[in-house]
Amino acid sequence: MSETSPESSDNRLGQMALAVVLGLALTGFVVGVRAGPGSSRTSGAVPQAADMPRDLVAKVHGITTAKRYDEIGEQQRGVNAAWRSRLDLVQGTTAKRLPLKAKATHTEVLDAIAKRTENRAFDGAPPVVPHPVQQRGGLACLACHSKGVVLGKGAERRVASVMSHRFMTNCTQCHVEQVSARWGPANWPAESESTFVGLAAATHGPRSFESAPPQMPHAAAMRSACGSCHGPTGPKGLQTSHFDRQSCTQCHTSSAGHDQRYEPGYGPGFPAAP
Amino acid sequence: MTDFSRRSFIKATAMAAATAAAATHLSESEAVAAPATRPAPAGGDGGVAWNKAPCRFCGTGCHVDVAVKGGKVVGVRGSRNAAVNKGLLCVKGYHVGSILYGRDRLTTPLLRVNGKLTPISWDKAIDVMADRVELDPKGFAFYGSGQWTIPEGYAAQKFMKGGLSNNHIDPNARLCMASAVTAFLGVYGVDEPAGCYQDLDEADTIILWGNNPAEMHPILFSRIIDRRSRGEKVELIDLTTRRTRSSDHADHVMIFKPHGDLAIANGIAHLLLKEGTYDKEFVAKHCNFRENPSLKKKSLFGKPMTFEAYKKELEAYTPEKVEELSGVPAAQIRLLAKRFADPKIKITSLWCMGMNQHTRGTAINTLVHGIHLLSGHFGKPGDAPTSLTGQPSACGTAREVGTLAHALPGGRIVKLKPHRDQCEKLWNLPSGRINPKPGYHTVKMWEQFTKEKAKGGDVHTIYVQVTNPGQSLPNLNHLFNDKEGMKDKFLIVSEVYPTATTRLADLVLPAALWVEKNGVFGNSERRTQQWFKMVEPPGQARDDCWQTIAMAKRLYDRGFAGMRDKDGKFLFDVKDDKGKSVPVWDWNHYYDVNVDKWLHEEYRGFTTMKHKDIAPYDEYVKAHGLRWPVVKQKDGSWRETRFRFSEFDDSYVKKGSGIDFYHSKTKDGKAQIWFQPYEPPPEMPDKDYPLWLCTGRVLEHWHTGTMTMRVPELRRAMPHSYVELNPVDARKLGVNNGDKVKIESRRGSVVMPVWIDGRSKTVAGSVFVPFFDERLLINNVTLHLFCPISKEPDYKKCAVRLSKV
Repeated sequence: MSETSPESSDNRLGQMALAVVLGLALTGFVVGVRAGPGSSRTSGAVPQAADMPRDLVAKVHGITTAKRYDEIGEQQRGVNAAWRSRLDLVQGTTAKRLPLKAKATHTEVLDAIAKRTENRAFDGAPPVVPHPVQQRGGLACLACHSKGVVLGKGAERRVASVMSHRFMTNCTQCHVEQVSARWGPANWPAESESTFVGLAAATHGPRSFESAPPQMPHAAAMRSACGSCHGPTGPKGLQTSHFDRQSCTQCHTSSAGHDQRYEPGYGPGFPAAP
Repeated sequence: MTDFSRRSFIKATAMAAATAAAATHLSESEAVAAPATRPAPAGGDGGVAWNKAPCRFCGTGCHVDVAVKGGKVVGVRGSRNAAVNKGLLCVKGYHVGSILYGRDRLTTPLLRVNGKLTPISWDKAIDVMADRVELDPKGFAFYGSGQWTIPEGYAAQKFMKGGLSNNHIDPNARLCMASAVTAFLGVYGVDEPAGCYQDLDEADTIILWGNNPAEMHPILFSRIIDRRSRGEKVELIDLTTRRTRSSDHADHVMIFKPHGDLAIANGIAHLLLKEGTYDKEFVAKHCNFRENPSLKKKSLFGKPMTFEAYKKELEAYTPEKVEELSGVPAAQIRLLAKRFADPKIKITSLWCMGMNQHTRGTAINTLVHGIHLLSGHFGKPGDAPTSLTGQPSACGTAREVGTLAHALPGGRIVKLKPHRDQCEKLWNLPSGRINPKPGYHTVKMWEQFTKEKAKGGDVHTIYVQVTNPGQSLPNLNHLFNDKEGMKDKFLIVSEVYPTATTRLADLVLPAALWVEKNGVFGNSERRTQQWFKMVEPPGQARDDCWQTIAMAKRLYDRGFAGMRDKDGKFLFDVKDDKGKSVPVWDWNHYYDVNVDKWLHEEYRGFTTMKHKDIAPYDEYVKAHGLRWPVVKQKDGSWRETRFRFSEFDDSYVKKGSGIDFYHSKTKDGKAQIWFQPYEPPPEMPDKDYPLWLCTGRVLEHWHTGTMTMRVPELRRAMPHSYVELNPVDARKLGVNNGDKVKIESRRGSVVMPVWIDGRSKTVAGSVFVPFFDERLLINNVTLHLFCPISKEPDYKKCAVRLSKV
């Protein structure tokens, strides 16, 4: 038998590598699904190959291991192997990745949440609109709120935040403007105002261990565009330290409890049944 | 694995992941196993219990999850697993929790002593109520609304018709959807829509008949227009008298003159007949024709007419004639007819107050059903004439429980002896207990109340629960305000806040609100929805249902014969699971047993009489509502019905018939297509009162605003009422935004700030005023003339004049 041609061998290696990746992903998914919030995580059986140096694995087992994240961008392969990304030249920086932003201080987090509370009745309520609404048709709001428009600087800086959820047409169904009175009559009497105190926003998501990525402390429903608050136009206390990562939910999971993946609870938890 | 299959596999995996993500977001998820307790979510809302409840406001019937912490409601979110709203709410729904906590919640019973409301004990209050009944049981009236829970309305109904032999019980629903009811009866022989909200997902064309769902039924409106952002095509045709937020999304806006809707519907039927494009097979198999005996003499069921006579009557309604009557260009009438003539598309009509609050309300309702039947756009998902409701349980309580002056539960009516017999049997009453004479409908009831006894005003006491007639009745000067200072009249009001009604009340009873009590609502698509009490009512506020039962027990204790059934037992002898009587009239024991469940199970006996079957209470505990008829299956499960009268879904339809109107008045399984002529409104603008006045609602406020005005987010969004004015009329008057004008009719006046082209755009010669503001009572101006069949007044059109103040 002639030796397998390099090309087909490459192909087979590729297939095997893919199988490993998918296998790991599947295991990870199952483990992830099983582990509920707060449950301790145990790592699965460690493949023998993982203990070997990576180039040795390739030799002994005849397979290529998946690249680590820190290798991506440094190792090049395939038809574009010779191509070099020189972000440093473009931006005048030596960084290979965008630099990590300094983590927000606790005060900054609290400030950001306090600011956020100003135009919400409770955590989870749709924010009210801090400017007059002259909506005609469904797309008017998108002009500023699709990508997020920043106006002014310093104290004058205003951000039209990016819509945090998938596009829905009738914006003013949930988001209403706030005016004290247009043309009278006399203001509504204060003694007839609601004293409702709403659910407070969480300051931090729980982590399963010190350096683990935090879990979302809020529902992901209606908040699927993370960048709306955690992106570069979000308030400082809520901004992520790593803007260049695009797939947030890869590391930061949402909680089943928050996201109503079950029917709303009934049975125990209700007032005592007769 | 070949290269191709590997790629397909990756792609398929990605698709599956994406689909799963989409599914968790959108699915109606009917079969998700319920955990015993919801896991406490990590993060900020630890210690919060979430429970389900339908929203307190409109008839859409969205489900909300209510967050309770430390004995208080702290948040609300749309229930993602609820089929009605799929996780979304409107701005009122999101803020519904705030309505419980107004500083001025009524917390103690108040009796008017020397003109001043003075705190008294509940015991004394119940005594006063019993005194008023005993004074003259025939002159005691009960006035409620579609905000009654089903058990509350059922208890009030039993108390009045079964206990007092008195039929003077009517709901605010009379002012709201009575015309829809009479038309459903006249056309199908049985009330309530055949279709459901799924029609909105499947229709190709949706026609709004004088309806502004973008503001009044926002969840349903979003359900329609969000289809477009998913790449679907749905045509929206807005038939309206002014440009609204709904018009902004419409493909065609057709602005008609008040009452022009009658002409438009006839114009469509005219073209379908003339061009032979009506559905001949559907009409032959499923329809009869009907008309009123004469223009003067109108009746609920009318008399039969031949197809030829029907065709002849419609000959006059040419597009050009309809243009003249309605103001809608003939070309647009042709466009509408073309849609109905197309058998390939699916058409859903939506309407609410525009067609119901109409002096020809029954007529226009029957006409719209008629063009759907004539064209065969009926009975398939997406093909439906659908009437919406404005109150959370207008369907459940007012219509199904029949808390109307002429009705009994289960579609029975007091006039018919067999119906009374059925009812007396189920209530275990002696024969003849139920009075055969219909009681006073709303307008009549308040007329009799505000008229001196010496002048024939034979209603001496009205007990109002869950509504605010002092603001919502039309022509308040005629129907409400006269009560002031009348010695022999007594107004009892169970309320949560001081209102325009409590202002004239002699006895004010503090009521529990929404999740402060157990409840069951029934929404616009026949969906019955249950919830449990989650927080305690403030102070001494108590359930309306308890109030009714406590009053009944006091009468029973005093020996009032009507409070006994034929075995001498109390009418509300609520029993626990072991069959032991529970003293629920004592507030301390009211929640020892689930009174709602007990009443529900008793009421269930009525619901099978007209195929409006509801399931046992416990089935609703498990569901986000079920649409009746809910039919027990062979395997013991309960199946809801989405499309009534259609064989593929409704188990009561005769096999092989396709469509079967099994409550047909003509007893042949056929529906009635009515001819109703165009008639001008009873009051039209003239030299002295040159402008049309239309009243209605806005997105942020619900009904009379007593709840929503107390919510800062909602009040700031819409802080006060206004008169919406066309620039042409503003120029004529010489007024600008914010200027005050006096709006005057032959009945009364009110001063309002002007908003030119405000929330909506009126046409020149007409003005619009929302009625939510208790400081600016537009119902001092409106008309109390009503549809002769439904007795529902017309709040949408009367003549006024404006002057600068």
